[in-house]
Amino acid sequence: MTMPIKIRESSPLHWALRVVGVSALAAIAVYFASNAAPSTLGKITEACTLAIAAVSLNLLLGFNGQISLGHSTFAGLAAFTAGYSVNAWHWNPWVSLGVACVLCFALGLLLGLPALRLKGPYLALVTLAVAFVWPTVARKFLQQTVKASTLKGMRLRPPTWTGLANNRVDRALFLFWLSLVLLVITYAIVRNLRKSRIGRSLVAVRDNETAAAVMGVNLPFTKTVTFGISAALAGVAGWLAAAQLATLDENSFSILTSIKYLLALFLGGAATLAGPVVGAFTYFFADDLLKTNAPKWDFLPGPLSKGPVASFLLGVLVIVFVFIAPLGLVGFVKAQGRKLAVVVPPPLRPAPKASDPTAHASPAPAGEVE
Amino acid sequence: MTPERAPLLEVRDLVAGYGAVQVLTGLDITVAEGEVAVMLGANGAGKTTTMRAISGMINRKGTITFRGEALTRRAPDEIVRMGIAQVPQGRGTFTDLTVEENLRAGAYVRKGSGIEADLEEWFGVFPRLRERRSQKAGGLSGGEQQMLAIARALMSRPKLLLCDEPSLGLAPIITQELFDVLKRLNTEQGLSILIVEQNANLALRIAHSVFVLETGSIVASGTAQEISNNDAVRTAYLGY
Repeated sequence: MTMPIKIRESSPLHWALRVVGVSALAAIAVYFASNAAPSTLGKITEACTLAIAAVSLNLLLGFNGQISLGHSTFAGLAAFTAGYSVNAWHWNPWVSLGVACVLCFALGLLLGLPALRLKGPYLALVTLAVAFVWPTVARKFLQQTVKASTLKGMRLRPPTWTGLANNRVDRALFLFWLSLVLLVITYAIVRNLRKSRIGRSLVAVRDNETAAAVMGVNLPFTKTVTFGISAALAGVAGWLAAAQLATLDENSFSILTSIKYLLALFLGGAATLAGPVVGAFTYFFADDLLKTNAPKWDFLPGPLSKGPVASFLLGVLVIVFVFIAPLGLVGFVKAQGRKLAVVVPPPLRPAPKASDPTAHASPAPAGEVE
Repeated sequence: MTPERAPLLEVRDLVAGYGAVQVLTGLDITVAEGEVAVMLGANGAGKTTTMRAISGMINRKGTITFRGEALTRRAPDEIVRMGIAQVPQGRGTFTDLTVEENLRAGAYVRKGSGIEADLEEWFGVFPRLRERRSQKAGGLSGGEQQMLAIARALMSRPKLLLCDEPSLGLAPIITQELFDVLKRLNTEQGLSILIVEQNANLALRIAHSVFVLETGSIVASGTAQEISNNDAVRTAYLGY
């Protein structure tokens, strides 16, 4: 067996690889921005929106171990907040983004409270209930406050400094870049959280609550605030959806939306940083490809023989995936990649000088442990 | 004769349990500064409950005094800051974090400087951990995980280390090494240690004082020598 190549973290080589990776992604984005049709840009925008939601769910479920089937509700709340405040009160859309995130954060904190006492399937049930209640709340809101069956989406005008006009093509281009920027910001927030002391405490709580608590991690605080932050980030996805959709109604953010977030997360790989992004794009474009190109198979039984078999094939794809790559695409690639190259941490800073009063004598090394 | 040492931890009339179930019914122990105290007890005697009561994980009544300060009403994070670290039963390493991240998590209550120097120090004491620094803790052997759990607890720079059944699930030779390490931490760094154990043989060898716990209270206490000579304890825990 060949030894994997060792790359030292933050070494010039490591940085070079990072720069190459980021530039490649940026080049792809620029290529699409200058060549793709508005409809394609719209699809990428949708995939980015799904990715933001999956990243937000990853923070909660992947890293902190709290399941939520209610993330569609946070997205819905943010979308309705944006749609209504911009249309009825003529708010600045950017203000509505801030307000939507704050509202989602508060609702997330609230939902995080029962989550303190519940785990696994029980927490899934409570959050499922929230996802089920949302359409009813949305319908009441539409009937009583909006007095219409739908709420208009939020039309974002490209700011003048972008040099983009307020027409269909330029708006698509603007939304494309905006969704990418928001995805990068969301990703950066979760990445920096994960790499920090707070991030270690999140994973610690997930892996062993008792050990985390005796290490000084405040469990209720950590868990509820994580729920809140995750909800606020899901709100970003909802706000972005309100900018893309012409109309919003009570079914725009149903339990199926939550399931979609979960699928995207697990396809890409929960508890990995890139997983939810990769998963969201994979899911979205696999779904899209199947919907537009699915064959009609007469030999299939029952209702499947009548129409295209897109959802059937997507289901099969998901099941096959779970078997081949249970850790998700990114988990799978990481496991394979580890055979080729590993990133090793840099050496530690040297121990303090002998004059340091806090330094104390170390005992001799312990014997080898099997 | 060991000279009289100042008490570091004093537990008086400790009552604790889970909901309606009372596990500890008036427990008294004293751990002196710089000593290794061992609490022996069978399954269900209340060993882990005692640990959890001291580290603030469960509601408790009675008085617990650490370096002269009462900690009965304090939360776990305050207790860690005061200088009590716990190695939980079954090690409780964070399997998805790397060895280094586990150690850094151990320094959760500390801010800023000295953490890297401490990492370096414990990697010196536990060279196997240095070798596995960037590996996930879940891939370590049981013995390595126990060492990691101890090193992680030490990252909070405790004055008192609580070890909950460190020998659990380890091969005898590994347990032996483990107790050697604990012994050295005590003699070379002056770390005070409270160990709860069923493995009386090994524990008695490094203990200064010993408490025997039965159904929620201490039934015998004394020096390791005295307890080893106690007939009841010998038949119950040493098997001869």
